[in-house]
Amino acid sequence: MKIKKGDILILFFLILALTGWLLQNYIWPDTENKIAIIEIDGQVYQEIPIDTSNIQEFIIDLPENNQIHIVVEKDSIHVEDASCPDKVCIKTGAISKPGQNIVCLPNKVVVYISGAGDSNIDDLSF
Amino acid sequence: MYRKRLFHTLLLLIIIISLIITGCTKNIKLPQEEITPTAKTTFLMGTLVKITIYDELKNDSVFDKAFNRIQEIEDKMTINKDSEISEIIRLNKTAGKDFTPLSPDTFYVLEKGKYYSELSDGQFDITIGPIVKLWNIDTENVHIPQDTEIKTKLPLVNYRNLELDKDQKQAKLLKSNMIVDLGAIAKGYAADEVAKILTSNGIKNAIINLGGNILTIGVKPDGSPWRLGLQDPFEPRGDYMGVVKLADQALVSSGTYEKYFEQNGKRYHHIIDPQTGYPAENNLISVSIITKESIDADALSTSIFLLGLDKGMEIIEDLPNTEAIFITYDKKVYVSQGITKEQFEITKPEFQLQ
Repeated sequence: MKIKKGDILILFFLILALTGWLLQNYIWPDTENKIAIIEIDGQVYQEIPIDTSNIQEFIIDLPENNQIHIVVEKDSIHVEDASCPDKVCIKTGAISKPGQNIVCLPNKVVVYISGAGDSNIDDLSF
Repeated sequence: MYRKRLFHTLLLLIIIISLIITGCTKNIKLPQEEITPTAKTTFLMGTLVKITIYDELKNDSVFDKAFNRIQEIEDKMTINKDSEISEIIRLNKTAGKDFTPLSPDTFYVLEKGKYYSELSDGQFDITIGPIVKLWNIDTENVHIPQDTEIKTKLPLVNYRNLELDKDQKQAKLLKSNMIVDLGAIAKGYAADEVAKILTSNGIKNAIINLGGNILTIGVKPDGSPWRLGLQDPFEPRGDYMGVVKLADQALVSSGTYEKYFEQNGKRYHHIIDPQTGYPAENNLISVSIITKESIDADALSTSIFLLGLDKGMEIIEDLPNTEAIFITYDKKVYVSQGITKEQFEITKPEFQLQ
């Protein structure tokens, strides 16, 4: 049995490479930039990167004395309160993945997460 | 010598495996054929309307034509605005008195609405208006109505008392205080009309989305079918539990999960059973219908939901080019016979296909 130093070296690097490949999702988590986009009546109102540096909450004044209270957390965004009758936007809860959205129909506000998105589907039936 | 060969074989194996694994991921991540669709959204018919066109466009005028058409349909058929031009408001106001002349649009939708009321034997009823008004589910004053109020209004709900005169294109509600509500069908019609406009403007690949009602035109530019996510009824909007493939088809879902309110710890949703006057209570959380035309899928999604799993499935199996997906509260999924594994793929394992 003659195993040369070189063999062991190659083996070592191969195993290291393989382990690195297998663990890449843990070592470098998916930090793909997620951006929350707030649209009012079809126009982009604000874009907020969803990351630890943007934790905030604010109230947007809308036409006819309406308001919507938005909370941005480190990995999600949600509507805390809104002056709308149905409160669907509040019940929707927090969204965090590209493609998810919050719609406030009475106030014509849409909040959605953009990003690489989900290329698995073309649209959503709900 | 033997052990050395074994060692080298092992080494080779590791190299090959590494190459295969890394090679594979590269292949998967290869960018697909570049498709840059144009999408426009707006608020119409009390919902979010999105049109996505995959053809090359010289200008945006086709979107305006489509949105104008939806506005026109809304103006004719709404009961929620003080619209002077709403034919349905006029029809309701003259209930018990006169015939109301109607445009071909409104007459067609009323005819379809009555047809599905008949098909479901009144489980779906387009004269549900008086009860819907009591529940006010979209408004600030949402509350459980008095049982006596419901009992008083319930006799007004009867599609048989909607008289349609096809020759003269006019309609009449036979009892006063009756109210027609096209909320469960008008969006379906609007999508079909948008499809006509897009097609006549040369569009071959597009998705029309009216508040979650989907109508597809053609297939994807690469020739493969459209892939539509089916909303997971237990998660926020955008999370889907499966993928439905469509080509030139409509997909409409009705469920208890979107519009509801809670009172005394009980949840009240927006799909009202015309027999009881209360939100339908069965084990279904959602029903999705696939048809050729969107108006049929729209009316059927509510009708079949109200009929429940057994009766609903029976009716679906009798209708041509019509398929259904039922989801129950305990995450069981039932599909009609025409739905193949190829056409509908469940992506969340907690949903069990029966």
